[in-house]
Amino acid sequence: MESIIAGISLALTWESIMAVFIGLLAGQLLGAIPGLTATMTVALLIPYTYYLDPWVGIPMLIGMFKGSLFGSSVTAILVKTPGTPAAAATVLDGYPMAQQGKGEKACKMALYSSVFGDGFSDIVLIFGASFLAAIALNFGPAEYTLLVAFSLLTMGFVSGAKVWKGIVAMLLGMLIGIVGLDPVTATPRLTLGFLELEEGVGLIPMLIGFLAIAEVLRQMELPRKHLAMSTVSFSADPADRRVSWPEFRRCLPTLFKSSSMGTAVGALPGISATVAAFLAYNEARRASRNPEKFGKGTLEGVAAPESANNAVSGANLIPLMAFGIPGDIAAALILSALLIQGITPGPVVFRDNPEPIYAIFTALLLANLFNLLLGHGLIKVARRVVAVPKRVLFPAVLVIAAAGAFAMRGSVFDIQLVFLFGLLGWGLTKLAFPTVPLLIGFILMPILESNLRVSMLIASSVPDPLLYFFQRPAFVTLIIVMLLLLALILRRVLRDNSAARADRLKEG
Amino acid sequence: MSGQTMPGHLRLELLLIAVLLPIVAVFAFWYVPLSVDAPQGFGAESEISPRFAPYLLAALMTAAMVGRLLQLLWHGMRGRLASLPDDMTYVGTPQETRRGAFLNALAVAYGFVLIPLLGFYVASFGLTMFLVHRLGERRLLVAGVIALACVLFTYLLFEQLLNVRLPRGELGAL
Repeated sequence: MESIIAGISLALTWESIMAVFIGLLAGQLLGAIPGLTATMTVALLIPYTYYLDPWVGIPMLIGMFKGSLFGSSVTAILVKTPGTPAAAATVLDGYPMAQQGKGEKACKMALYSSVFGDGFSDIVLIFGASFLAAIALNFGPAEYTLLVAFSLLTMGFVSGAKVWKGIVAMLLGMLIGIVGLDPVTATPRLTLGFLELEEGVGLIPMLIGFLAIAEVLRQMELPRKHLAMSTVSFSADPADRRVSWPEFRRCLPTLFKSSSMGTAVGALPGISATVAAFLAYNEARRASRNPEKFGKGTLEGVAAPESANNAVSGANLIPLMAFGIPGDIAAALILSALLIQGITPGPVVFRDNPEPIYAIFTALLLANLFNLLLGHGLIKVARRVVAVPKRVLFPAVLVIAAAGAFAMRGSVFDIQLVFLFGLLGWGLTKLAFPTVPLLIGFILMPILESNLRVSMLIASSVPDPLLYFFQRPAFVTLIIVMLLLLALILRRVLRDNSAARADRLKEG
Repeated sequence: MSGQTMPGHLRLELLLIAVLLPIVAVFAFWYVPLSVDAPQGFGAESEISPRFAPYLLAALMTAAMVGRLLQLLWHGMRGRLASLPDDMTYVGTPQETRRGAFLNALAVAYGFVLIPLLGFYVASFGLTMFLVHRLGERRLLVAGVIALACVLFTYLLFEQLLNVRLPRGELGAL
C-alpha cells in the first residue's frame, strides 16, 4: 500500500501533471498531421525528454502517445485523412457522418470511445498485467495464423455489394503485403528490382495514398462549385453536435467488446493498433442488428475502432511491465526511456521497486482525463480548419501528406509510392472495388505469412505434425471459439435468407 | 440467356474479368517463376517455398473471378441478369473521370519529377498555386499567398519543429 501511495505521489507533482498536459497537447496536434504516427511523434520528440527529470519525461511520453491517437481520429473523420494508420478504420463511418453534418458528433464519439478504450485497458493493465501476459505468452505462430486467417475469411465476404470484388481487393492487398524479402529465406519477392522495396511497402505511404490522396483526387475532379465549399458542413441541430446519453448507452456493448478485443490484441506482441481497430470494426458490423448501416455513418462504426485502437496503447504495456518485453515499437520506445532513466521493467520491479510502476499507472489515468478535457478543444480547432474551402484545403493536404510520407523513412521513394497508391486507389474506386478489404489484407498478410510458414516449419520437424497443433491448448481453444463464431454467422445468414424469401413470397 | 440484354454494368464487369484473368495468369506463370528465387535447402520444392504465397493468392484471385463468371452464367440461365445490383452508379461522369485522370497524372509528376528535380518546397509551391488557381481561385496573387502559407507551414513543422530535412532536389544541390 505504501508503494502505491509513493508511486501516486511521484506522478502527482505539478511538474509531472504539466508534462502529461504538454505531451498530450503536442501529441494531439502532431497526431492530426497525416503520416505522423504516434510512434513517429514520440520517436521525434524523445530526444527532448532525455534532458528532463524521469518523472517529467516519462509522463510526457505517455501523454504524447495517447494524444496522438485521438488527434489522428479527428482528421480521419473530418477530412478522411487518418493522421495515423490506427485511425484508418475510423474513416469508414466517421467520414460519412461528417458528410451528413454530424462531424462534431462523430469526433465526440471518437473522443469518448478513445477515453473509454484507454481507461479500460489501463485498468486491465493495473490489475491483471502479469496474468494477461502469461496467457499472451502461450500464443505461438499457430495461434496467430489461425486468428488472422479467420479475420480475413470473414472480412472478404462482408465487404460490399459484390463479393468477388471484395475478395479480389483483399487478395490484391495481401499481394502488396508480401512485397519485400521473404520472411523465411530472405529472397526478394515482387520488388521489381527496387532496393527500397526490399523492406516491403510502408504502411504509411499505402494508407495515405489509398485513403487521403485517392479521396482528395476524387473530390478535386468534381465541378468547381463543389470545391468552393468546405469539405464538411456542420449541422446547427444540437442533436447532431453532441452524443446523448441514450446514444452512448446504445454503444456501450460495442465499447466493452471492442475495448476487450483491443486489450487482448495489445497484450499479444507484434499486432498493431491498426489491426485491432479493423478487427473490432468488423466484429461490431458482424454482431450488429443493422449491419447495412455500417459504412454509411453509424456511431457504433466510430466507437468500435476508436475504443479498440486506444485499448491497444495501454495493453501494449502489459508484456512490458510484466516481463520487460515490449509489445510493439511504441512500448519499445517507452522501455528505452525507462531504461535511460534507470528503471528496468519486469517481474522483479513489482517486488523490489514498484513505485515507478504505480507512478506510470497514475500518469496513464491522468493522461486519459486530460485527453477528455483537451479533446473538446481540439475538435473546436479542427472545426475551424475544415471550414476552409476545399480548393484551398485539398492542395495543402497533398503537400502535407507528401511531407508526412517522406518524414517516416527520409525517402523520396515513399512520396512516389503515396501518389502511385493514390492513383491505384482512385482507379479502384472508379471500378467500384472496395478499398477497405485491400488495406486489411495488406496489414494482415505479413503476420499471416510469417506465422503460417514458421508454424509449418515447426510442424514438419516433429514426427506427428497434426499433434503439434492439437496438443496446444491455446490453439484448440481458438478453434472452438472460431467454430462457434462461424456457426453464429451461418445461422444469421440462413435466417436473413429465409426472411428475404418470405418477403419475396409476400410481395409475389 | 440469349433472349435478354445484358445490363451495362455487367458488361463492364465481364470486360474487367477478361482483362484481369490474363494479368493474373501472366503474373503466376511468367513473373513469379522468373523473379522469385526459391533457394535450394530452404524448402524450394515444398509448400513453404517463397513462391508459395504469390501462387496461392493468384489461385484464389482466379477462383474468385471464375466463381463470379459461373454466378453470372447461372443468373443468365434463370433470366435474372437485369435484377442484379449495379455498383457502378456513383463512380462519376466521363468528364469527371477525365479531370481525375489529369489530376492523377499531375500528382504523379509532382512525386516523380518535380520533387526530385526542383526540391520539395519549390515543387510544392508550384503545385499548390496551380491547383488552387485551377480549382476556382481566379486571383493569382491569392493563389500564390495560399501556396506560400502552405509551404511555410510545412517548413516550420517539419524542418524547425521535427528536424526532418525535406528533399532539396537537383536544384537544391546546385
